[in-house]
Amino acid sequence: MSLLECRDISRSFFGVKALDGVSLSVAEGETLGIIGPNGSGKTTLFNIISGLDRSHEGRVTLGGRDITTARPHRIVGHGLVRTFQNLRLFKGMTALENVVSGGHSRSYKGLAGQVLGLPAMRRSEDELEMRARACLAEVGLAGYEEASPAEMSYGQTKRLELARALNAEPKILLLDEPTAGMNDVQAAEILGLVARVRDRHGLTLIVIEHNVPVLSRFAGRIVVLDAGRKLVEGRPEEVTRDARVIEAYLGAGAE
Amino acid sequence: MAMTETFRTPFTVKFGPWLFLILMACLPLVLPGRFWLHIFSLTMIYAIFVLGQNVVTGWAGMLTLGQAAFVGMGAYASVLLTMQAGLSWPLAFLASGVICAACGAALALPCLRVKADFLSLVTIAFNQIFFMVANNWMELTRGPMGIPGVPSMQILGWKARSSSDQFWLILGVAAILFFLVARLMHGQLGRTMKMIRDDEVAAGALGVNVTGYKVLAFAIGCGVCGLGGSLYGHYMRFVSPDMFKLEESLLIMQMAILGGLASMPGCALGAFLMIMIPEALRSSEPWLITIRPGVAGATLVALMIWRPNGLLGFGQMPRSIRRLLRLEKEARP
Amino acid sequence: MDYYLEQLSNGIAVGSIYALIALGYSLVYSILNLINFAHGYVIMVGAFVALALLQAGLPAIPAIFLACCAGALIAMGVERIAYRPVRHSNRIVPMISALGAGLVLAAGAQLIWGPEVHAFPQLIPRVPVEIGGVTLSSQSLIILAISLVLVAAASWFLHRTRFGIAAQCVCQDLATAQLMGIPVNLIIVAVYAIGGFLGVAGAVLFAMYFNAVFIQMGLLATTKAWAAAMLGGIGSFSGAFWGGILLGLAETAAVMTAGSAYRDGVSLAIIVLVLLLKPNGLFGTASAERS
Repeated sequence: MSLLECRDISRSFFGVKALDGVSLSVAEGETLGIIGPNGSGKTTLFNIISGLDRSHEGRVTLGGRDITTARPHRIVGHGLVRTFQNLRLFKGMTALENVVSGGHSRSYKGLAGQVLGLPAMRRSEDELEMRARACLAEVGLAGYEEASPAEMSYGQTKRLELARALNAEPKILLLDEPTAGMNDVQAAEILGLVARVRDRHGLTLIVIEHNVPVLSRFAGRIVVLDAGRKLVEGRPEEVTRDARVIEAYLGAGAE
Repeated sequence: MAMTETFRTPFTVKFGPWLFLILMACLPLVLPGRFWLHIFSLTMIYAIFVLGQNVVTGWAGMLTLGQAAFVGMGAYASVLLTMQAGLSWPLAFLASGVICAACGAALALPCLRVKADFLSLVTIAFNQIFFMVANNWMELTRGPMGIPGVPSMQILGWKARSSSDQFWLILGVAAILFFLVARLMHGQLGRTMKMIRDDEVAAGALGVNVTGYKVLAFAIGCGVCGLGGSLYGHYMRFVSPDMFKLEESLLIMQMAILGGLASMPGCALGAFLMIMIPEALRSSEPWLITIRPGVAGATLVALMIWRPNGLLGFGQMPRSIRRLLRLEKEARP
Repeated sequence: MDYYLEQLSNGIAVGSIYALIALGYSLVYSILNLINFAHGYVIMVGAFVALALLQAGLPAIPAIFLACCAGALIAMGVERIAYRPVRHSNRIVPMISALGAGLVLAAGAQLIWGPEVHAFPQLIPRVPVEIGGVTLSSQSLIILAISLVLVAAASWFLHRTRFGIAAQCVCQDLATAQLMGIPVNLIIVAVYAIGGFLGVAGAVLFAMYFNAVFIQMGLLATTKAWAAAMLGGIGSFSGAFWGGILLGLAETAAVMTAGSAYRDGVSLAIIVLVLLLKPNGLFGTASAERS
């Protein structure tokens, strides 16, 4: 039973097709890797799935529900959360607040209750803070609660973003280049953390990655995008051996 | 049993405001004359305006340059409701807040759906339109002559007659407003606004209805200014269009930024500095008053370069100082 | 009939002035997504400089040209002091610092020239001209001609020269343009300078048309220019031009029907109405911005 299903997604910018009839489906509990050269439409696909961008054609369904035209905040409510390639942390907040923010969709929203400090609001805030501290500890950032993202190292901010996404309690998590700008050791470390988190929470993952060897050990299936089309799809060892992939993507680096 | 019990709110945060309130309440007993009492009353009223601006600019990160129009709208609404419709002041006070919040929401909704930057333009235009209407609608507002003889504030038969009565009443209203807004801003609502301020896209991707919260922030900011406006009109006992010009909006904006964005004490500090400094220098250095707008503008540029969130704004205090003042939550041993 | 045609030509002439001023706003906005509140104040100072140079006895054309250059210089100064240091800050920071810079300029101008309204010499003859049986004012025609030449020159510069094309790249995507080796800093300064130059030209024509230079002109020009830019769709070069013309016509129509007291209300109403009803402008094609 597939949890997320994209059918024939197309999107063009100024006449250039960024995505051209891409279909993919992800089963519950699966980890799908997406690779492809720059400009092949990976992030555009993420933007469309998470509702930040609209496709011109095609449908996206999540757990059988059509989310093609849903606004981003509705999609989160259905259990789909994403991270960003260029880290969109809240710079004016502490690490703890950043993670608490991740639980926005679960937070108490009554205005009168907030002003009066009703028990429901207190409970919600206490619960959010406790969960946030637990998420921070889970990604190895215990003790950094009051730090500002500006004071943290790059690797730490990546972990912080993961903790924030976790606190949204996703069923399916979309990670846009979680290891961008890292060396192999750091990348393996982060993906190891992601794998542990995935197993503990029973998450479904879609990961955009450039680091193919690291991804191959981690994803059950890989989709290769090239120039807005799906080039190949299959198990990591099949994909990395495919001649078309080597030419389109790996070849450029190997030459 | 709950884990939260191991973290406590620092005592500076808990009792600081109460201490400040008590000290303020003692002011009429120690201040030398009515003039300085008046200046302090005015400062508190401006602090309320600044609070309204700060909700929009400091927490939600939108630049509005027309808060004086909402102050004016609240003042005129309250004055007309008491003088023409015979409402009692507390009712007119609440009504002016509701009217301004509703107008703010109606004005902001379409423009916030497109781009929050344009809010600054629309609010400038709105302020000038408000001024034109107030100046020309003779039947309602008496135009540039203004409305004199506004009754003083009165609650359940108790009338604020002396200037210390008025001072205490304004202090009480300001304290309640600050308390209520602080409850909102330090809870879920304020945090969500800060998410939008820091990164709209990420906020949306975490489930925030960005437009809805922006409109809510603007409505709250305008409502607070409207309430402040009612207080202003009944304290000055007079309203005229000149009191609510665009320059006044810019002044409120400058106070909010100088004091500190997203900071409750910052609201009071900004209003205090920008009213007290000119007043204190008025007699000894009169030339300073003429270049005041220029100094204010230069201060604004300098602040943006070196302290973009103002003196007490978020992220401006090094952690060491925060620890020293015990502003951070700490674990119980 | 003649009366209406004359009013029409006046409206178009005034509109072309607004277009010149609006271009400065629109150019900066399209590159930096910044509402450069200082622009209105820069061109107000430029108009005062023109007046001072004329009073010092300089002939008209060099005086106005020098004033335009002064406007470009001041605009560059604003960029250097109030924009570049805060370029990477939160969106509203550069807006606030631009406004601060504008307030400094206004205070400076008030210190030098005082708060009163100054008359501006009428350099363009105001005589009736007959074209094809229709009498038009020579002033309107000359103003329109000057604006058209300037707008055309700016358009040529931005669309046909290497520099202009580089600027267009920066408009599309600042970060990528920087990676491609386009000197982004230089282009931003240049765009400020072009905006200042054209804006002062517009402000001088404005001063001649209304026979007045005054401090509040900065803010007045700001609201009018933005009304024009919004009507035409912000960030669009031709949009700013047509928006300006439309605004001029709308103002003239308002003056004819309701009286001159309502002239300045038109632009304010347009700003509010355009944002309420058609936020991408009448000619805007881009969909609502989402990120």
